[in-house]
Amino acid sequence: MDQEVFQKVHPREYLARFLNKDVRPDGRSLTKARRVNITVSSIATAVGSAMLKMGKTTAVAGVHATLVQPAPGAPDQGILDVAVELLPMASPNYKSGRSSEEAICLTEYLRSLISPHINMSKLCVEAGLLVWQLRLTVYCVDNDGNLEDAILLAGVAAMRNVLLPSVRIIGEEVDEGRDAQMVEVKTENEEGEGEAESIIAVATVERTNSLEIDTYPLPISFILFDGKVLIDPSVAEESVCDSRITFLFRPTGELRGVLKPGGKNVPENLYQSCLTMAKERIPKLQAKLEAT
Amino acid sequence: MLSGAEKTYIEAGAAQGIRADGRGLLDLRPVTLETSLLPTASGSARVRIGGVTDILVGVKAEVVEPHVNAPDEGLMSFAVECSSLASPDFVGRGGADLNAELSQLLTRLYASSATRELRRGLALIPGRKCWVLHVDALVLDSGGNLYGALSLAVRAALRVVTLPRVVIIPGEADDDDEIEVNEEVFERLSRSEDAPVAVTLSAVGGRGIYIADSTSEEEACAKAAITMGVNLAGRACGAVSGGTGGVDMDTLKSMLKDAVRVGGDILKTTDSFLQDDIARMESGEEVEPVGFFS
Amino acid sequence: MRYGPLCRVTAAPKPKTSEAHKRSDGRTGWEELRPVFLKASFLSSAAGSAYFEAGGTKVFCAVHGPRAWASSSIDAVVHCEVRWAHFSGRREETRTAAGGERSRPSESATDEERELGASLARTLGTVTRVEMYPKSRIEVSALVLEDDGSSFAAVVTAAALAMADAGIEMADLTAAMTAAVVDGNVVVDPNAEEERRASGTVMVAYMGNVGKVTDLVQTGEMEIGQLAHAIQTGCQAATQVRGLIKACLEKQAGKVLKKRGRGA
Repeated sequence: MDQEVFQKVHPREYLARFLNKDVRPDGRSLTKARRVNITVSSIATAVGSAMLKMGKTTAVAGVHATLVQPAPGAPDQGILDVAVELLPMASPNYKSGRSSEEAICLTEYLRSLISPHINMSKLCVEAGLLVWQLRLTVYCVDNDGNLEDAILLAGVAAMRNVLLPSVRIIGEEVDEGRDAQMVEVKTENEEGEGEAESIIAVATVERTNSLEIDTYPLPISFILFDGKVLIDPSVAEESVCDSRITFLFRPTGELRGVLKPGGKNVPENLYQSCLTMAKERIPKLQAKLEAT
Repeated sequence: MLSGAEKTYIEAGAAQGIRADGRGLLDLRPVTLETSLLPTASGSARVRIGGVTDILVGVKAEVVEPHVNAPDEGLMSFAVECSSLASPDFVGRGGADLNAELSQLLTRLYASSATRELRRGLALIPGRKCWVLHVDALVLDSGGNLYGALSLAVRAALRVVTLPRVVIIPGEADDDDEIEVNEEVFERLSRSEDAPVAVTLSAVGGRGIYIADSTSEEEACAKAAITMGVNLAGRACGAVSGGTGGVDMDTLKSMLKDAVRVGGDILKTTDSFLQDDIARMESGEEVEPVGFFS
Repeated sequence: MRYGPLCRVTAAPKPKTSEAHKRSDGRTGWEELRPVFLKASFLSSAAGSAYFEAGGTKVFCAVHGPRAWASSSIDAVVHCEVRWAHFSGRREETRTAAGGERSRPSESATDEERELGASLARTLGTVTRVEMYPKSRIEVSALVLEDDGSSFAAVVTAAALAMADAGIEMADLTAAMTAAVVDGNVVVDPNAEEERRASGTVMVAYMGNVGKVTDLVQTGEMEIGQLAHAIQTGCQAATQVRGLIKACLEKQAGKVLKKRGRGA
């Protein structure tokens, strides 16, 4: 039987025969993660951006900033919106049109892990008047497995890359020349009806204010297949795995959380070996992010 | 779908300069144009071409805040709905895509600087108050030349739009001006004659042969089409191509010239009709309704 | 830098126009193109893919298929989806939004994206030999990461390269270019700043060998003579870009052959 046909008809058996020889279909050993490559600041129209490649898996993250009026309940807090989009180009399984359940799950995953590390009061320009609204969008361009880790790392890298201009609220419009630009923000009146007021502010063209994110989550995922542990799975491996386990670390190397969504249970000894492998890899991943 | 023989008939005819219904290449079918037929709309029009293509347009107006990038201009929004009764092609996703394309064409036609004066006429208090015109079009039946019929109906509806007079009451400070809408006195839009009309020319048969106001059969065998917005000044204000044949440069250039000529004729004819129509309405003369409201 | 639709920029940095023919990004001729970077076959699962960069404009494009598809027509159907990334800086120029911000749910395409998707599908349908793939569908997906002007032309060019990379039979290579009328001059390959100032723009997709215009999208107001001139210069520039696509494909093919030679 042809190799491709065999893989399609017996995907589990196909992978099992490779693993019996301690090698994976893409040539890696079971404990070898793919090379991670991060490039930042490549998109000039975004206030922060990152492109992450993990093997062939590719994600592009960008942050768009708008000045808005803060929410009434949190006058000194900025706003962060998060979205993950799985484009049809990433995989033949992704359909165009409405966002899939998978995209919604990944959006929630990313939001819950990134939001706690952003200091929302850093996004405040003037309490009660003006705050930054950031929107982080991660586009999955190519899915060759372990999308969860790729999207989270891309999101973290893009947020760490964010540089905002300095904003000052002024009374009226004056020409500040080339180094600054005027922004006018319409505000809602509390009574709902009535006149909308506008706030006039001046923003520097040069962007210098970083969000100073020094603690962030670093994910490392494994899958279990037939009692074997595989680090950083490819899409073909993910599709036949028994269960998946993700370790989340702090940049300092402490374990922060473990995610194990369903599937077969993980025996204690395998859990320990996963953890050891993960701990070895963390400094490398952390260095990659810090280097950006 | 057309059979091979039908296709040959249309193509060979066009090559001889004559079409199945006896028209010349750039001749138009008879157009029926009715205006102000919806009592609840600020302006409305219905256009039928060749007794088949049938489009109803209604315009509604409300006072909103202008767009921050154009504080001294009013707004226009377009929504086109192809009735799924009209053609099986309008059902489902294909219909949704067509609706998007048709509304986008109108947005394109009315976004250019050519209609800036028309939009300025909709401004009330710069930066704070302006009219928004919601233009809703319903495609009731389709027999070719949808773009042309749609743009003609929208233009006719805008020509007859009347809005209540707005008085600006000065406030204490500059920013405190208020508006008062006088529902007694109605006024027509200024510079509505600037609105463009779209002309579609479809290339059929051999090189350099193209036709205006094509029927659906002719559209089915057209290799390529150019739809261009033309205004009274004879300028292009928004163009898109259609079909999957491509056009060579010389044909394209002569198509652009002819589109302007055909568009100019349409504008002249409909404007003279609309002026009579408006004059009749203003003199209070009863107009005998035709079409489905009669 | 732009902040989004809620803000009005009143004092944007003035372009440097000290020299007569100097453009805002330093180009010296009206017909000079920005530096182009092209790359094919960079995605794993797609049949063909392309990355196109001209100045700041960056576009990803991928082709899936042809795959079996039940449709009323016998010939293959080309289906395209074009998206502008949320952070691409695409101006919300449409005045349709009645004031304020038009927030769109991330997943649904705007009318403009749908229209241009259909337009791209027609262009690719023109160049593709659809009769070679009966009862099938070719799916094209494009993402504009950054819009620094002429972005739809970039999408068309990237799509043409991705189609060729997927090995889909085409009658010719199509490449696209935008020409804009800025201060009365016809300017080729305008950047975002020039597009903003332009009184009219026209995007043409052109098959250099067959000599046919496959797509045309014009916005703004233009005189007919000016439009014809803009189309002509646009097509000439598109032919130049076509040469770049061809070179990229030849390089790619060379790599594949070399690999095969080594394998054998």
